[in-house]
Amino acid sequence: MKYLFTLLFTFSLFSSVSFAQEVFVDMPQNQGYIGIPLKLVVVYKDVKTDREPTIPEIDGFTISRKPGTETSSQTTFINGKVTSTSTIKFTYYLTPQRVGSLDIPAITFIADGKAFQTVPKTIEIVETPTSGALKVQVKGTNSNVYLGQPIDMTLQIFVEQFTDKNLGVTLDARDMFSLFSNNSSFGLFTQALQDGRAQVQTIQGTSIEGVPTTFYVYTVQATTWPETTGTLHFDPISIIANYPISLSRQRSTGFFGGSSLTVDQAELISAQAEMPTIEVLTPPENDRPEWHSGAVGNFDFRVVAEPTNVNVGEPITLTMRVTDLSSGPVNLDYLSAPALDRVTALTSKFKVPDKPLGGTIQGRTKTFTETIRPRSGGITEIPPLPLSSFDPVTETYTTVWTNPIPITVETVATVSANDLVGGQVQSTTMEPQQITEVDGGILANYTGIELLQSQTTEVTPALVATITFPPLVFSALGCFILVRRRAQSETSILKSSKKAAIQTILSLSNAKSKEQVQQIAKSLRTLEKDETVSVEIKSLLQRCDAAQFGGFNDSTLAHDAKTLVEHMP
Amino acid sequence: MILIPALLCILAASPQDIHLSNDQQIAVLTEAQTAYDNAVLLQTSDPVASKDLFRRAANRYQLLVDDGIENGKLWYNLGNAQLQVGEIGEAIAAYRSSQRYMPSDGRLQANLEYARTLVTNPITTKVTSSILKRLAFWHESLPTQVRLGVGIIFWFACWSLVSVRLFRRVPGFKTISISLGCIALSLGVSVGIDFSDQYQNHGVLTAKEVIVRKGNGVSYAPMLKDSLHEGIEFDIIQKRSDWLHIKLPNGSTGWIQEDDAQIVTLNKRHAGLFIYPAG
Repeated sequence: MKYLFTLLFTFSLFSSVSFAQEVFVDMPQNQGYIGIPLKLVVVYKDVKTDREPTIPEIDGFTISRKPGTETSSQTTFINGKVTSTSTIKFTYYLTPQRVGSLDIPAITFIADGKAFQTVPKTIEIVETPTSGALKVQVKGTNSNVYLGQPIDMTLQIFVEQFTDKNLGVTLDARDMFSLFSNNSSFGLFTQALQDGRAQVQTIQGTSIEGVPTTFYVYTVQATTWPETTGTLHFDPISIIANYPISLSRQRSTGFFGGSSLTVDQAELISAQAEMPTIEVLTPPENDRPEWHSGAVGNFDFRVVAEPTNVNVGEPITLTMRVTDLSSGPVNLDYLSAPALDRVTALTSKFKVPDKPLGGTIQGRTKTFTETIRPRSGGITEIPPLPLSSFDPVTETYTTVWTNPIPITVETVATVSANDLVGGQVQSTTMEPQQITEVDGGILANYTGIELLQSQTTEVTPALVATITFPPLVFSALGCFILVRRRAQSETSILKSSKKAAIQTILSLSNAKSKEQVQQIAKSLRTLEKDETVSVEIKSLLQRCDAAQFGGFNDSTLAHDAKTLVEHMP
Repeated sequence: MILIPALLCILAASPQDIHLSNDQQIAVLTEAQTAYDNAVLLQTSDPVASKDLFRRAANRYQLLVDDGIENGKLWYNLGNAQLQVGEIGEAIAAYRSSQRYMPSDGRLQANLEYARTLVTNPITTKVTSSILKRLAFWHESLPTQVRLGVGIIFWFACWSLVSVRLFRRVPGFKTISISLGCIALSLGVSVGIDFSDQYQNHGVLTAKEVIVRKGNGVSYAPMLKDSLHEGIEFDIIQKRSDWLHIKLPNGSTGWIQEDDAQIVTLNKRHAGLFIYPAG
């Protein structure tokens, strides 16, 4: 048993290694409430894609997409082996519209040349509970922020303190917090709550019935960074709690005795937070340097080049370190690399890729690596490189410049197209009359939709039927002819025997001997099949029998037979 | 108790077969052709980006092939993209697959010959030019579908003539009918050979250097003094575990690891797109 389990575990481990690319749906909930959105995250792991996944319409749900994506990458070094993992997350909200078991079907995602399919799932949807003694509110520090600027958000959950008058027990803040359901959604405050960063205070207020009562207020703070401009979209926050109606005391049966409190009766209550409206602005266009790549805040910028002695066209790796100089929490995930391709002083002398760069974050520093190639020989330095950022406090742009980096670039022969595999060969023939086809190189591709038509030839029932059809037709025709010929031969035999019988009768002048009577009888029996004279023939046959077996001498038998034959048609 | 979830995990990890829709196939083909064209444009100005685009084009063509589309031109394009990336072995394997559907195509023959010239230390083939092979030149120059179509026409003509002969005399009946029958039969045998041959395994070495061994294991001594290089073609005599018993063009035989080669075969089990289940 243990051996089998080890085998299975090893196999499952092995398969997870071989299928490193993954697309899966993260949706842990099995239960939901009408009108309260359920979060569905589509995760692309180690899959490169430019396309957004398509979620089909799902019966019973309305689907909304949270703008933007979450991307992350991780590089690990184990025993000198480098392993990189990248993840892209797309978030959707499925809002249940009716009560019952709602099915989320298997969804197929096409990405990076592969298709991935999710497992279908069923979610039980029930009526939304009443709000009761629960209230939630979310506040933001600013109503307008710039893209890249952090936003401090505060969540406050108000829960009416419960007191069981029969037992004279009041639940404390920790017990009340434990009554929150696992189906609650805390949105961007989830991580802060998991880290235990909630603060509790007690305030006096009035209940729904207007009675003065005590409330526990749980306050959680979180910082978020907007990803796109426009109105900021937050994950919805809905709190569900099993609010007690009565408690009971249970005595422990252990050695030391004692008792514990349990919730005897409870009602489900819920509350949803109204999220504040926050507009995310782009830094102003006025005075914006052309190489500004969206950085907001105050940064230090340093660049190292390696190697510094190269030939024309050879790569020089620039390692750029951008350090956030501000205080407070920092998130450099959204900090873009300096836009070197927009620095004319650099692009005039170096070939600079225009692809966006990913970076690695360590503390408050993000490091980017870019490869540039000198365009010509004689270049002596990499010019000063700028990093511009927008300061949201002063609302101005500031630019940090690096020092020029001295380098040496040697001139070499130009790289020929023929050096490349499959490169186009250019003819250098001087005289157009002597056109010679050059061997080597590859010819152009085929295009068109006919490339999608399969050309396989298989042994199909239709092919077998087509091949067997001609011999079958031939066999049918042969049988038909054979049967017809056989039928024709029977008629001719009948005719010839009839003719012989007539000649026999005509040749006999009398029927005196038994042999003569026998010959007449035999001939008559041959002719008996002729229906027009069958009565007369039967009469003659009776006379033949009488002459043959009764000893009766019939002198006119031969004559009558001859007469009958002569009048036969 | 522990076994059940473990089994479920493994079952969930088993890939299923589904196919791309027509729209998806067209989109993938368009993407492949665009990537290839862009790669050609960048070939001299930015070889690195060009190679990336050729790689993308090859992946897209491969996706269509994996989806079960067996088309000579598609295989040809895949071979071109792979050759541009520098994967000589894979390219030759793709061209060999393309030959199944358009054996006499000029572009294909030219590119296959060119790819073969890129093979390091190629093995010369034992040329056998028997009379029978010369007479049956059409077997290798006409596509299977054409031979099948022409064969069926001759088959119908032969039996029609024989059927007519049942009713009336036909001048030169014997000569014509025997000729028609022989042609139909020859074409039929030729197509039959193709049917059996398309599931026979041939292969091309895809690893940069391959050691041919005397047996199916790394403990066996090398069969040849030198290792073989990417792009060398062979026939498969036998497959045992992860090892292939191969016959090289010069008649030598030996064993290689399956991972070092690409098998050129029409295998229906490979048709269809792998779907990886997700959570």
